Amino acid sequence: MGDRSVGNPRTAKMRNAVLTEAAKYVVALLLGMTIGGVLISFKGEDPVFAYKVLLEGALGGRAAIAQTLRWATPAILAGLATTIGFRAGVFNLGVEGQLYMGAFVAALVGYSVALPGRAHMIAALGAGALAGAAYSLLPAVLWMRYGINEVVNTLMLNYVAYLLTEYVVRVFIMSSSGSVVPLQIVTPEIAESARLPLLFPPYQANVGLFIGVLLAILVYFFFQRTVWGYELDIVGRNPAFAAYGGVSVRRLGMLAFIASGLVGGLAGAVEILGVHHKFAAQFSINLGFDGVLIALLAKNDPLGIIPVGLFWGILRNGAYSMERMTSVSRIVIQVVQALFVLFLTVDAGVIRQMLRRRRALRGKPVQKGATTTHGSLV
Amino acid sequence: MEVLFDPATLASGIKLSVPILFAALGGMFTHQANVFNIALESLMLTSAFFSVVGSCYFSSPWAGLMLGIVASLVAALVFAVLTVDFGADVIVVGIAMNLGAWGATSILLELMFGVRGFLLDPRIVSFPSVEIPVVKSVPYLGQVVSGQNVLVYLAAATAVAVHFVSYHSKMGLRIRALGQNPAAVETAGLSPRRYRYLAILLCGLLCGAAGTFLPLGGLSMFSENMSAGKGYIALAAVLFGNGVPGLVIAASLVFGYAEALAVKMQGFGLPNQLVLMSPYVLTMLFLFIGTRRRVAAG
Repeated sequence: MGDRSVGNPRTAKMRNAVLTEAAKYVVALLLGMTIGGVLISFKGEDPVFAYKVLLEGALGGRAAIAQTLRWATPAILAGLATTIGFRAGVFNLGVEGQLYMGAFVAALVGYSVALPGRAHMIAALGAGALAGAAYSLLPAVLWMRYGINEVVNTLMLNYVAYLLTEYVVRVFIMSSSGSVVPLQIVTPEIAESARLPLLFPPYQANVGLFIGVLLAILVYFFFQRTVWGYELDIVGRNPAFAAYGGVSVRRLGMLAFIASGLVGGLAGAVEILGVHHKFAAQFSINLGFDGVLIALLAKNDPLGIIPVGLFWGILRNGAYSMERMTSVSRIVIQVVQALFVLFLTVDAGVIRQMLRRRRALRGKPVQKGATTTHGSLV
Repeated sequence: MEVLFDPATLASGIKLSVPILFAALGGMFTHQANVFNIALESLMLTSAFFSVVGSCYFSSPWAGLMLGIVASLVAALVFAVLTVDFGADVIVVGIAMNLGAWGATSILLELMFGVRGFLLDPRIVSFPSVEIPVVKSVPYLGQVVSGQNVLVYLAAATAVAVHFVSYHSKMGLRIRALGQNPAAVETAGLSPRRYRYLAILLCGLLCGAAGTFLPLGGLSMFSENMSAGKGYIALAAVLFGNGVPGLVIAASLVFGYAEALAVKMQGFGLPNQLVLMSPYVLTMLFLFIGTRRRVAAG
């Protein structure tokens, strides 16, 4: 998990390590893009052209960049939510569901409450975040108090959140009238006063981006500079050691779980208050799950979440433009993202070791009985 | 009340439990080998898609089953290489594979069949239903057990086979030993790596059958992300039974039954969303009961 080796001031060695690490990312991405390219060419499109369209759509011009920042915002927040949990050894895979609850409650406060000026916006954001935290409370309590596996529960609660919000909106807000198509099951629009200010009107990028970046920096300092943050890190790395050292593993784990849900809820609130301006059933498949991939790519470093989130924004926005300009479905990029992460989990050190072993075996005639395939008795 | 024991409800409960049962039996092996496997979902989805391909191109559901199993085994191999040999985190690999399989099957659907979202094609041949000669005419029992899809009976036979492999074969014993005490397995001169691989591949095999049932168990269609969390539900069945075949099977049957009951309740005006939600809620409830029971038993 957290990868900050301390000590060893020999900068050359450190530079080497950084370069190797960077090379790993580049190779993993290129491999993912190559396979994506093969899929694109099967579709009868030129992969180089498709990727060019993706990049231009994401970074070519003011509108493109604004839209990339719009997509980077939920990526940063969802990645951060996942990271907070992972750092403390909490596998909250329910950010998706917490995001839905946050989105729904933020919309509710946004259209049904009247508050003066910025207070409305802040109340809606806060309500959304609290809804996410509340929704993480159930799996957190079940895990910490009763030892029930949190991974399965949070995954189940994602589905419950999709369906529960759809149900409540359809039956209680729309009075069961109108469409049964999920995206047409919507709440009324939120008030102007609840909307997040846009960064470059009329584009959708909004101050949610600053909220995400600021929060990432705060979380970084929390882990780096506070006793609680330090203790949480230890809990995540070695709970037994933490308990031995007098850390209340249970209380801190709860705290991390709920904080993770809080940020997940905030991610949903920002989506609604900043972009959609109303809650629609099943409005955002997978924003929450992306958080898991983002957390891994950032090596659970809150500061690392920011560049990875921006990169995610480029891919997401670029994928939409690729889908508009070519016949390639944007889901190709979801495959590239997944492959990027999978290739990155391949440890180059293990490959080197395997090659060395193979060379060694081929080099020398092997004595009978001298090779165990797995060094069991050493 | 009579809907609870209505033979039609029970029959459809058995049917609906089949994909969960197959996947849970597979997940049982990885659980016994101490691998936390949320990739069941992606194995199922991969197999669901390729079983449709097989059924379409060879106009035989058996060819579909074969291709589905092969595809699932390949995906399981990827999972094994990354987690066993490269020491990658099982949860991260699992999530990435689940998202990747969702994307990949959707794209392949478009590339191979030229459609997006779902595929309804007369070329997709499902497994047939069969009547069991004598049982058929037994009142009540006949209505529940006879006339089911071929894969339903195959699932029942597999469940028995899995029990024997797990408890009465060297391989099963070694996989379980690996989960409980890897050092003991090594000391016995066996390769933990090999048995971890075996467990994951067995899981791939069974998830291949699980995935095949989704499109070829009577529906004769494929839709995007067709597994829809069934892999996670299967994992819950595994955790509920803590890797004990009988309990895992029982949990799968209950999940299937509950789903069938929920569908029936829809007929009584229960809202659609609540019906669809019930298997997930029930899964949590079951996991709670299962874990509490285990804690109580020490």
